[in-house]
Amino acid sequence: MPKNLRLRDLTKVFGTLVAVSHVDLDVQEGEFVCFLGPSGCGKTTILRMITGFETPTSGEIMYDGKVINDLVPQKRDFGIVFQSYALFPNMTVLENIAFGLKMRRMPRDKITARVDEILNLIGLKDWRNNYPAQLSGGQQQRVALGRALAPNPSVLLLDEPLSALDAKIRVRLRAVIKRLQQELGITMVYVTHDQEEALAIADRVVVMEEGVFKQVGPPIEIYKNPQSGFVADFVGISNFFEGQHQDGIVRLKDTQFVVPQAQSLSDDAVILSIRPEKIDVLDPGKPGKDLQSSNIMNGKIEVVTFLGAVVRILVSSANGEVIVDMVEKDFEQRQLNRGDEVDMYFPPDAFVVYPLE
Amino acid sequence: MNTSGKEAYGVSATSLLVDKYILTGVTILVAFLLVFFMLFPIYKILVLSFFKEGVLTSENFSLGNYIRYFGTPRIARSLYNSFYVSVVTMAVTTILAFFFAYALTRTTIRGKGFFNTVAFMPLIAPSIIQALALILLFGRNGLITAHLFKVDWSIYGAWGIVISEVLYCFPHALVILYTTLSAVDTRLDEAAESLGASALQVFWRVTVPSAKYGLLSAGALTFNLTITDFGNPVVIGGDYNVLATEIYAQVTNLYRFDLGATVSVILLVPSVAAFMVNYYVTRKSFALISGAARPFIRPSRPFRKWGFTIYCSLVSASIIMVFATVVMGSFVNVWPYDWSLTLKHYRFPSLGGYSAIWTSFWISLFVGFLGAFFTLIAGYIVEKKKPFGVQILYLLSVMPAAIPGLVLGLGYILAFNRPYFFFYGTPWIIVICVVIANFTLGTLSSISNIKNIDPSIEEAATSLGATSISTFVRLVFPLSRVAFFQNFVYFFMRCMTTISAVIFLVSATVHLAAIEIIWLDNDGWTASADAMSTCVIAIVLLMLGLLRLVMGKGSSHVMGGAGG
Amino acid sequence: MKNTKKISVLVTILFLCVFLGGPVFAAKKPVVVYTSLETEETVEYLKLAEKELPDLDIKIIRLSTGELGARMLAERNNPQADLVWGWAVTNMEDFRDRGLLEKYKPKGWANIPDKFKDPNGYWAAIDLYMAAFVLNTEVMAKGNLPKPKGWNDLLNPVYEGKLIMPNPASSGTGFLQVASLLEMLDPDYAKKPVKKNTGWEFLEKLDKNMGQYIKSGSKPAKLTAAGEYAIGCSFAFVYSSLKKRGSPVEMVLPEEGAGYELEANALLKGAKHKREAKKFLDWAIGESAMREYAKFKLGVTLPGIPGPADLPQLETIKLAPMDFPWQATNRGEILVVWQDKFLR
Repeated sequence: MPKNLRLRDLTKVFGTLVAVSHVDLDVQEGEFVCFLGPSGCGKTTILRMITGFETPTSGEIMYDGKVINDLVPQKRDFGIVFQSYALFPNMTVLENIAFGLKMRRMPRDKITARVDEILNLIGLKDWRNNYPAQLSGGQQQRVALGRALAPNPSVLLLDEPLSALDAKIRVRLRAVIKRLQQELGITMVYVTHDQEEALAIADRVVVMEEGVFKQVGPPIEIYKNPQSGFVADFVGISNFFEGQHQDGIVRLKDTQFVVPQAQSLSDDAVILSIRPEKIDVLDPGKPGKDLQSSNIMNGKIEVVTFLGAVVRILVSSANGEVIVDMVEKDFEQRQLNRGDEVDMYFPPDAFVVYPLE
Repeated sequence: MNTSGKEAYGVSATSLLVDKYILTGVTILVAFLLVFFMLFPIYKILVLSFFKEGVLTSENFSLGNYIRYFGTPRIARSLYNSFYVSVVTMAVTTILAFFFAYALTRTTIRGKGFFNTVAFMPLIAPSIIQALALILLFGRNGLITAHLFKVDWSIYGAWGIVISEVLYCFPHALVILYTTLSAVDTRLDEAAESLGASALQVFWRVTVPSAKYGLLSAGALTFNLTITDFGNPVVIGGDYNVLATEIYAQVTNLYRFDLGATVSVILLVPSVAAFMVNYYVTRKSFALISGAARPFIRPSRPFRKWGFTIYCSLVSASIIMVFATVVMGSFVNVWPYDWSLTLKHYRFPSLGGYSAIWTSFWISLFVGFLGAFFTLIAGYIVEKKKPFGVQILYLLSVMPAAIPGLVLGLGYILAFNRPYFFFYGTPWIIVICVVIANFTLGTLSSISNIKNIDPSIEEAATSLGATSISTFVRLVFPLSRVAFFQNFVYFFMRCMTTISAVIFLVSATVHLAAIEIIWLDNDGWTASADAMSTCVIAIVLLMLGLLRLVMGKGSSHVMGGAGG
Repeated sequence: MKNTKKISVLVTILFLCVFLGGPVFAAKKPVVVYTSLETEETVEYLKLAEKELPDLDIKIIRLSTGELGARMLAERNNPQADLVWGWAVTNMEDFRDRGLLEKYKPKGWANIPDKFKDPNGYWAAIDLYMAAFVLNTEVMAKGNLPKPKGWNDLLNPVYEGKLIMPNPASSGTGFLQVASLLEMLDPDYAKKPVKKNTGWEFLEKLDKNMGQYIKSGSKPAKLTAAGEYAIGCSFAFVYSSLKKRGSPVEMVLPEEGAGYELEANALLKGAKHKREAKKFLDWAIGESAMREYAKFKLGVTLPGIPGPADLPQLETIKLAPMDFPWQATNRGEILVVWQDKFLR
């Protein structure tokens, strides 16, 4: 029977501040779940409740079918990786990794074997007798990972483990973590404020704001189908338009969009969001065939930013500024420049619609 | 991968059970020790001063002792005298130390390291060496007064007390002002100057106001140290009676423990007040320190540079003179007539003699370890564990600074002189008393050290299965090692040199070097008192050197990593 | 890590040193002695005591007469000492009445003349020590000061600020000086309250010349020897020890009559080592001890032992009439009046 981690109506209140408000979640054994949200959204509080450093105000944390609210951290058998690495500065790499095993009174020879295994896993064999202060940030975090994995925990909890590192190492270490998770088949709960990281690494992403879950789902789902403006805004970049909905048509200040999926909403003020890469750039006055002609908007290129494979342009229009991402090759061929007039096409099915809150 | 089955090995259930209660247990233990060894004696003093025979019944309540105190002009004068010397000392010390700190932090004079070292020398010696040296130099038969200038003036009395207290308090005030001035951003000064203010205007309008909390705090501390000191007034005060000597006189001369207790209570009032000012101001000033500014100091103009160099040299010379005089006084045949060198003063004409030094040494070792240990635990609980009622524990831990040593010692006699307190009359009561009397500074330095330990380090240990005890032993202690040994040295030093806290507690079985100094001086063996002081200074220096040797090597990774 | 181990080893070694090097309990039986005898003489007496009482581990503290009394009072519920040795009889009488002493007539009790012991056996005196002026001849010569013959001469204004005497509250010597003056100067001293004693007028005049009242009885002599004062009101034997060390001092016994005090021994109530204490007390009035005392004291209570050669013999000295019971009863009052008048 798989050992699942479940949060049931979990709430944490600090004084008058509600840090976490009635959240529910099932984490399957071997799943990689990522909590994503801005700082102060309560994601770290949830992690600390799972680890046992905070006690829930109400609700339950269950593991393997048992409520573990009052279980001391030592008995939870969860490994933790901290943002600040939290390596023991007075111990060598080897001693750091062996620490949890010593605490569990493993025999000496087995400790040696296990530490070797872990050192191979994190690729720091030659550093075993160094002190943390002698290692780079990335190496330190690998030691922290190894230390947390050494006692073979049933769940590994990672609290913004990469945010203290610089971009390149972050990406590389991200891959290491993902690979380890897949190889070991271990359940991981990962907290981050970096949406790119969350989308890249997780099986399932939990987007949080002000103590509540805004959306839970696979990364692709979250990205493609954000269920609220907050999620759309927080995960990736989106253009937003405010308008009045009537019968699948959304009227903006100066134009109107055909948005068939808006029909599920009542006739009221709505918000439309659309990802920049979903917008097509046409030459002015030459609408392609098969296009919904009403979904075309005219504007002027204000800013051009090269992002490598993608060129991001900022277009000013009667309905405000619109961000559009173009494939670099395409941009090059069209010989577009700052100040050029363009038509933008908004495919109807690319819109995500929410009622105005 | 799953070669090591997790089921096979686990954290022992008993140790986790112990772990559940250990924090509460230790917290209660520390709080109990502080209540029992600090508040209980003070309570006994209060009761004795307000109730006849110290029996707590309503018909025994009486203000008679206080009426007698304030109704007897001679005794009541001790209050005025104490305030007089303390206020003068406070003003003089604070100003002297302020300019010294200013020179060290705001000018580019040379020899800062030397001045700094010299300024802290008074901490390693018994507080009375100032008085001993001043008598040799400025006494009725002093080298300078009677022999150099041939004047018929002597230093006994208020001025003697003030000068020796200034020298004694100087390093304490300097620490505070140095910290304050290094924390205040000098760019403020530069900004003011660029706006056209003259140097003097900048000093008065910007520098002094920005250091006001430091000045207040240094003043309050100096006041507290002076008003509670016993050693200097008793040696150099002559007929000039202060509260501390009055307590001693009431108890030992007239056998009036009740009046001694009454004077103790009267002494407690200003000393607690000064403590509270200091406590309040320190909290305020910490809020002001940004820590960001570590500015570059512009080269000082020659006039300023030379002025401050001369000033610092004069202050340092005074301090060095104290030490040189005492050491020299211990080696010359008959001061100031016969300058031939001799070791005869080191054959102590006292019952304690070298065994007193030895006893002092090993008692100080115990005090060092126990003091460092308990303050580390107290600091750890207060800073990291924050259990229920942590504020009470904190208050108890910092309160000893408000209690004059002599009062604490008297309280110990009143409270613990019972057959069932087996530790009375043993070295342990001295160990306990000195640890308690110096608990404040120990705890504060533990706290500031433990603050630097990343909280996740402990959480990491816990999540890996470590109990509180193993976390403390394997992590907190090793990471606080530097602070532990600093505290060890501090407690050791205090125990070697303290007088007031233990003068009532030495006994036929336990003689202490610092008290022997007082007795030797009392009996007129001034040169031997100098010799005993020299021995104490030598031992403290030796211990400092030894600890530096031990701490010097291989501690870098600890220091580097502790910040996380 | 290595360092931590090194340190813990060091710590362990240190603690072991302390434990092993600390109090090593030999077969000796402890006895706790309180004394107000001068440190200098006590050191010599103890050498003899340790030789003659080899099975005793003598733990001793020397405090001034007042300090010692305060300590015994403070400890009355839990006495730390077994006996008091060489303590002023005035205070002995007081403490007998307060019930702190225990009757014990040591071996050799019969040899001590009656006037030197408590009729009920609470204390036995061992010696008598005497107030004396110690003059610094160099200071006297430099200031062209006349040599005083007695207390009255000290009122001469030429001595202003050049005199020093002990504080009677803390020093037994100071007390016997004041008490002897009060008794000599007012024939009716016993009949009226202390406050009304006519001797105070003399002391007030004397106060004008007094440079300092100091805690210890020997210190006036020592400070005078060091040149800080011209004349120190102190006691006789400290003079001889200063003289031996080569200080420029001279001694004058007041012509009006020298105040003196007996120093006595007693067993303390509640002594924890009573057997050992008795053994010590027996020794302390025995002949060998008395001979040792006589090397320092003007007179010892065991008849037939001559005093030190460098001091005048007891028979030649005019003694003040000392009324010990009156002193004991009125000690507190005398001190309060004195302090209120003369302490600044």
